[in-house]
Amino acid sequence: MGKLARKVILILLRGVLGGVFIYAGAMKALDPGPFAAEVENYRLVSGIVAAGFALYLPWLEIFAGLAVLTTVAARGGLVVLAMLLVVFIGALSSAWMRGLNISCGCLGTHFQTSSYALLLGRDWVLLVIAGILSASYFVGSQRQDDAVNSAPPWKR
Amino acid sequence: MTRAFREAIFLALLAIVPAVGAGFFHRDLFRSPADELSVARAVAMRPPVLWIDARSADDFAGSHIPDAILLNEDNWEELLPGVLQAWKPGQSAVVYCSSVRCNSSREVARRLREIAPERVYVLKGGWESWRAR
Repeated sequence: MGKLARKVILILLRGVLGGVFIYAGAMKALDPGPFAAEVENYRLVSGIVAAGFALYLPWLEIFAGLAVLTTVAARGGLVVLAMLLVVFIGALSSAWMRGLNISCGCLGTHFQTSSYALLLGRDWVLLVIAGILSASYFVGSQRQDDAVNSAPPWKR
Repeated sequence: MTRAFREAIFLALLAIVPAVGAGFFHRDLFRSPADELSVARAVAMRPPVLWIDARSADDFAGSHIPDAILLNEDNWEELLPGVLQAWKPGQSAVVYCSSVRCNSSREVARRLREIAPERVYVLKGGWESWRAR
């Protein structure tokens, strides 16, 4: 794959991953009440813990999404988003196994769906994107290390 | 790898600042239970909610929220089948009683959550808040 094509693909993936989380976080930050209720519906946390989660999570999504989109602290942003996606997948899977009927609340109240397959599929796709972007940073930093190590001592 | 985790911790700490601000702005989230909905929020929900009236049969007959179904603790066994039949998959239910002072809506909501996996909310302010809208 050409260098330019690879670069374009990575930019697009950053745009998708960062954009989705910035949008999702913004929708929930604007109206955390229904999101707090949705969190309670998973029956994993309730009361003040659910309220605190509903107030904090949207901002974490926004900042991590911005970090990935702008490449400022992008590595950290990818770690945060990957961990969030693992938590979301776990919570959805748990709700599915217990037969709960939820609408996720992931993107605020505007895009509600109760299809577990759709929700889990979406989160897995986002996790794969985060993995690809993380690998590109890892490969990039490895190449930098190799270039530094193979350079003559007076050029390091 | 260390840099990634340092940046992640930085982002996690940064998010606390606006979250605390949001907490002051949305203090009601900590005062009222997260399963309570205002009339405006309940009406705005999609798909439209199933309204459940937890008051007495006489109060219900007098007036009630349009399309509401009666389900109170006194006639639970008799009324429950009708509610379950009317309740569509994926539809939220909102239970109300007379006012903010009554507790029967909470009790009915609690019992419904034990038997149905659907989302059950309580109307903030009850029937009085609906009449005041």
